[in-house]
Amino acid sequence: MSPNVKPPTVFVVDDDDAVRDSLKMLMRSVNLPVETFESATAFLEAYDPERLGCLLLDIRMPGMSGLDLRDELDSRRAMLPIIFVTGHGDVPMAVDAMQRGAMDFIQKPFSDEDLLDRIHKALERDAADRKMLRAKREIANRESTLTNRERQVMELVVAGCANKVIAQDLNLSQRTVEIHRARVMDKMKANSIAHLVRMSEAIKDRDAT
Amino acid sequence: MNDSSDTRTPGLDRTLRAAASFRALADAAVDGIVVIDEDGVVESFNPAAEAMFGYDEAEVVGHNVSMLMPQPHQHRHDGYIRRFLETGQARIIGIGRETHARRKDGTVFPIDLSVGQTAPGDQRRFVGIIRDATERIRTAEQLRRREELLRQTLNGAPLGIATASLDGRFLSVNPACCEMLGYDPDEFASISLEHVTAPDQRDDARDILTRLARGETDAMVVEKRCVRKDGHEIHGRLHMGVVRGGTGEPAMLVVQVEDMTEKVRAREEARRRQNRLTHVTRLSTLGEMAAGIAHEINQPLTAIATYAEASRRLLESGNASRTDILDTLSKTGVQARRAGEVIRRVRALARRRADERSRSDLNDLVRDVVQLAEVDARLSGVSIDVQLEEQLPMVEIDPVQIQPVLLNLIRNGLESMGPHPQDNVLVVATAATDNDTVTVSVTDHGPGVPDDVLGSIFDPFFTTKPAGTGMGLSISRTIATAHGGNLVGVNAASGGAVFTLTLPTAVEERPVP
Repeated sequence: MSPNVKPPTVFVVDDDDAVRDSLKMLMRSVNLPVETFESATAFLEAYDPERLGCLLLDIRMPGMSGLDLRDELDSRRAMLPIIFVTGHGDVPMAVDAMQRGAMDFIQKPFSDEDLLDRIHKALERDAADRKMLRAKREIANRESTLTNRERQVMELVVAGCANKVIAQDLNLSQRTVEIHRARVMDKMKANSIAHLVRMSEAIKDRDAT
Repeated sequence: MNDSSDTRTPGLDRTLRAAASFRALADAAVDGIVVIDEDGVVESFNPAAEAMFGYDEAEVVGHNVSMLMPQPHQHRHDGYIRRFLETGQARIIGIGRETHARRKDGTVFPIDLSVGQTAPGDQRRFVGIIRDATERIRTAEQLRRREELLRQTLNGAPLGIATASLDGRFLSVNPACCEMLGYDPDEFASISLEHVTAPDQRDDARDILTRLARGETDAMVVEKRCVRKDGHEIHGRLHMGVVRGGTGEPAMLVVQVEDMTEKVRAREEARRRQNRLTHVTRLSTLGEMAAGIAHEINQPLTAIATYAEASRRLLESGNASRTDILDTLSKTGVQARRAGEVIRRVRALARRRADERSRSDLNDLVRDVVQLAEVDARLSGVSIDVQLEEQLPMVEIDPVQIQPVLLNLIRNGLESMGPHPQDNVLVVATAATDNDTVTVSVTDHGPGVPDDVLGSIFDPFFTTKPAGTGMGLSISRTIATAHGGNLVGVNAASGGAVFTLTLPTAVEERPVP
């Protein structure tokens, strides 16, 4: 993360001028940075995945709908938390959005307390997510310094194999396995085998997403 | 004349002169005159009788008069004379009667016969005066038949038929008229047309009577409410005709009453059903649009609530600028009016009441409806291009009925286009035509109507939509027709469908172009 990054921002996407304008004013009244967009397309054009914040997204819009935008962000692996804003008849749509992993939804017309509460939670989650992401990236960086042999040894260690078994599997001497193992612990900055297992799983999570 | 005759007694001379006078009279008479003696032997037979019977006088004189009679009189005639001479009872003498006679050729014909006798004492003679009754009887029979025909017609007629004087008093009524108005036939003598007219229509009825009595017109047909004896009202169609007298002046009226009560009731029932069906269709259209309408009202409500809370927070934080707050207050007002406008349009659509036509500007109507449809349009990713002809002539319509027709056409168009994001424009256009009509056309860019279905789309219950009622277009066309217009759908060359609603322009006060 560069030090000149913009502060966490509430991105509002709603096709209704008045709703957009009033939300902008509400965010300003609580000193939350806010940027508004009249369509999903306009947001996508301006969106920088590195930016922190949360997305307040109208579910029903002409052209690209809120759900379409969510899918697009997913495919771009953007991690911005989304609060769907729904109208009266959109509960089934919202349920669908929740099932597919949207963070939250709120129904119009909403109370400001409720909305701001959800926005703050979303911003916290985004911060946490970013922190975790940074941690994962750090682990991935360490892992990338391992040689192929060391990576093989780590996988077997994490799988719970004894040195003797590893030596047999990789057709190495037990002494050589011990040296590789020490290098892995050192490069990965692992305090214990348990720590190494957790880090290994974190990287696997990343690969799975 | 000779001297000897002069020396005859004056009585004989008078007799001879009288005989000559009789002869002259008999020769000139139009009626047949036959003189017979007490034995029934014919003494004289005048020319009229000759013509009537076909005999010469010479063939008859000296013969019994019964030769001029058919059976059974021929045989009985001697008896008739004898009985009269013996009893003095006259069956025909001095009375006259209708009987039959027989010509030389044997044909029998009806006669009016009167018989007189000479003074008693002298040798008695009887004088028969005979008039051929064939024509009279034929005319009387014709008259009787005509009267019978008229009587049967009047008695059996399903129409109430009455004759009335020029001032409206009843002269005669037929059974159907009695039945219809609930009076006995003799009760009509004491009432008039005015009595059986609904009180609020009596002035009109009097005007009509006056016009007919003055001979301004020979016949009039009026629909009015009639009051029965029991006070119930019936709807009657009255055909009133003037019967003119010999001088050509109106003499009396013939009134035929058709009981329209059932027809009027059926007509009103049909109209009520039509209204109800239209209303239901409107409501179901509204139901289908409920989500969109709720969304449309939610937007301003959301904005209002958010503006209000933002203002409160700004004021609480102490760094609110007066301009910001004033600005926000006026924005809040705008949004409240926006919500109110949506509700106004929806209410206008949902309201149920009788057909109320008024002079309307179709352009205004189109603008209103397009705003209502705008929600659906935005969500379908379609934009509505409204092309209104300026100076459009006014139309005489019930806006509450025409609005849903337009809404229905627009929504059909939107649905046909589906959620394709590119080149989705629905055109709603108004135009004035050359033949005093105004049109609204809705042109979509959907796939058009399949040819095999095009003939059925206006049929009731025909639908291609899974949840459609199939009543939309059917009722829309009914409404268009009821307004004297029509509704047609065709496929456009560009691929979509064009639905055109045509309405006649209002008759008067057309704006000068």
